[in-house]
Amino acid sequence: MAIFLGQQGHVELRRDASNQALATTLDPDDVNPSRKRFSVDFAAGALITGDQITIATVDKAPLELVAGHVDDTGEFYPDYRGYVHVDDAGGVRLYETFSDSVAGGPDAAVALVKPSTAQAVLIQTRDTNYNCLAQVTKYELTTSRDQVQTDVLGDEFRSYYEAGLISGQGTLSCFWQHKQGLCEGEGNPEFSSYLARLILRLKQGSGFDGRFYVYSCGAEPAVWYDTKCIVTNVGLSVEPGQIVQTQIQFAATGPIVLHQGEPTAYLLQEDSGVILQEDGSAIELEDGD
Amino acid sequence: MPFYAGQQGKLFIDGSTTPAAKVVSWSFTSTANVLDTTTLSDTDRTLIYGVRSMSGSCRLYYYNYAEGAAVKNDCASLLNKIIKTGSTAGDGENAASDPVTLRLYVDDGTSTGKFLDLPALLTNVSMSMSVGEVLAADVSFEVNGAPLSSSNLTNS
Repeated sequence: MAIFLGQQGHVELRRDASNQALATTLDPDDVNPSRKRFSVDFAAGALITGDQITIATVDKAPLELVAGHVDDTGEFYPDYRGYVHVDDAGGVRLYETFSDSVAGGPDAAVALVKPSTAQAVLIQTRDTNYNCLAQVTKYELTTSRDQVQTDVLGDEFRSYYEAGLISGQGTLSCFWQHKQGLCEGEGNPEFSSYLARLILRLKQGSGFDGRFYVYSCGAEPAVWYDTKCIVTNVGLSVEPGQIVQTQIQFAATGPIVLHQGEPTAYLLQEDSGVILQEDGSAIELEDGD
Repeated sequence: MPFYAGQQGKLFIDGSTTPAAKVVSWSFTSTANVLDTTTLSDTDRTLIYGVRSMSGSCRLYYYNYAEGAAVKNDCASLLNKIIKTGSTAGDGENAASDPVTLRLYVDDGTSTGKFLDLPALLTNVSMSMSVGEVLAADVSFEVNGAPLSSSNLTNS
């Protein structure tokens, strides 16, 4: 009879894509092309470094912001999708990749142009990728079903309604990390600092999509819980001579599903629909040309 | 059996020999008004009994069950005592609410048990559907007159 060790477990999270869009105005003076930096109201409290965002004009007019983001006729597209780095002053830089956005700085940032007029824009965070949460030392996940008593006169034994509401909650224990060190692995890990920032995020709340792997080992079928979560509590322990640790408590919101098999992958289409990739074989889009 | 609890409780409606299904609780309150007969020079308040009254309440889950080929719902039966329908909007002349006889029963281990037979008028029915709770009706009633003489709850 097999037993399983925690080494095969890990946590992945995806930044919540179902948030309410931030409506604001992008003024010409908000953009500093030489510094590749712009600012909008609410950005400091609503956006977190590493967020993938879509910024679009409200009226679908050309978005004059990203240099070279134009169609065949030279007209600016009405929207742009990329990753953001938000500095302490609320300044925003755009990047093509998650890792560049986390690193920040002007070198890899997307070049900007100054808008000719003020533009009403909507900024919405969205992300389709799950990233591993780094430095997780332990996680606990509890699923429970509400007990609704249905005892009536004459009963000798307790009775319950069998379909009470299902809920889930848990705790993540992580070593604190807020930046990637030099020569430190590959991929795009999320850090515990993101969850600490998430609970403080204004406007868009503290939701994330979580995958909690019980077992994940190479090509073998994995076992994992999949649910949407909200961060409810973040505790930080800073002690001389000790590793800085953080405890993140979360509650599931919505369905909780226990999967066994291969994690699903999605191929995005322009119309935001998805094509489910059910096996490992190449699909026709990849075979083009 | 020295003590009694919910396990020994039942509620019978309108003389039925079958206890109502899915009754969560019943309760009653017996009140006697008192009339003051204190007069000048009295040093202590004196009283005589006035009018007695009884009221109570019960709670039933809204629950369908099969009895033979018929589907029954005792909660709905009580609702039907007080709620009467009209044929059109604004129809103000409809059937009067029905009285009901409730037997609040305690199974004391004897063949007859202990009970109060109460001729009652339902005065209030309250139902609320909410997440995480089972649908139930809270029914309040006022007793019409005295408990029936068949009652034996007060017998020692």
